[in-house]
Amino acid sequence: MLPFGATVVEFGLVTFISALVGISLVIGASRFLKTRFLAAFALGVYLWYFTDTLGDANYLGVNEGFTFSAELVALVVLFVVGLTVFFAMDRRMFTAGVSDGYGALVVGVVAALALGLHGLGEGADFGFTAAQTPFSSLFDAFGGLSASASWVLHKMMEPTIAAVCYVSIARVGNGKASARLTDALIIASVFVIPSVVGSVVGYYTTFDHTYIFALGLGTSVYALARAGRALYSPSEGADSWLSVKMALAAVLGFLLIFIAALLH
Amino acid sequence: MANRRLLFLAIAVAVIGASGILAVTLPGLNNVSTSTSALTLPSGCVKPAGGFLIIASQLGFNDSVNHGVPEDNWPVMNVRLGQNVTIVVCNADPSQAHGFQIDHYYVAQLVSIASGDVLRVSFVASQSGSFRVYCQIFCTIHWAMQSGQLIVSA
Repeated sequence: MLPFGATVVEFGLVTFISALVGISLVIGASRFLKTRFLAAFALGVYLWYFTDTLGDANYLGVNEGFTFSAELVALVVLFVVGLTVFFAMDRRMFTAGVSDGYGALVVGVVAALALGLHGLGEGADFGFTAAQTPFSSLFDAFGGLSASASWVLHKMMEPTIAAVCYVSIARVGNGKASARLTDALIIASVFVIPSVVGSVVGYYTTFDHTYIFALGLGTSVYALARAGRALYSPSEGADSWLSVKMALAAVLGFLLIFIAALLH
Repeated sequence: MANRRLLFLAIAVAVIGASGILAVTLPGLNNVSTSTSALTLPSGCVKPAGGFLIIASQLGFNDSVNHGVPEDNWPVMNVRLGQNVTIVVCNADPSQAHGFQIDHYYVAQLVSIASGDVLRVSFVASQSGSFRVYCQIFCTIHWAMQSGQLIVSA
């Protein structure tokens, strides 16, 4: 068993710093890269994110077939609720021209929450494992350096989708660096809070975390839809190789998080 | 806008701070057992006649964390070529789903075992060799569930 305080603090700090680095990299990159390429990158990241979280959500119970068991129904309902609630909160998302009305920070924060909610399940898994493990070190309990590096890289990559939602609205090039750093801190905090809370809950309680992942899977679709708006930006111009460049950006995002998963 | 940023930051700091305080002040409340004997096995989790029983838990597959994984193989199942093989896999982990795959013999991406569920796998060992047994879901104990082995000897 790992000590509770040190476990939660170390887990929270590592996750927070990783997320902050990922978000800051996207904000920095938006100064010299067109937002549509960052959105394509985020799309690639999301493809893996969705598959990964779907596995954690036990594939929404699809293996049960048409049994309509309580577990299957609950998983599907949570997915639907998560998706619907976040879409319903942002009533301007699909309205051309007025979608920036909320402000970049609000959209970034909501997207970070939508993505971060699955962290409630991850944190709970982490906390539960920490309480059960026969190991006395965090490194050993979670698979050593390779698995730890995988976690750090994942937590760098996942919130980049929220960062793209943010930079697609914020005019980063014209803003003060200190304001952008504050925004990055806020977005990273919101992304990490569910993970930290989950680790606290998971350490002391025993329940099936699969349902949390089903909810988080649904909410995360919001972030994809928001970031996806930036894929189509007529104002950014185009050339005959644009589609190829976009594909390469998406492939890069996918492969980076895939490589991180290889370390797991 | 500056006020809104400060408000967001203050809320974030407050929640993280509250979690931190909780982390430091509540360690005495932990009552989670770390004993393998305390595992609650799902109903139907019984070793099949002539077959194998694999229990997935926070200790890996059949306590694999205590058997030198990932450097060593665990669990190891030895069968004869042509033998009918039955494996019962139980998920005794109350917190998360786990997967189960055997290279060549049982590779199906959508097979996952929910908490408290039991999976029964049957096949004929039609090809000799050594085949990896592993979980395909990225759970927290994933690293300890990658080193199982099915050995089919002629």
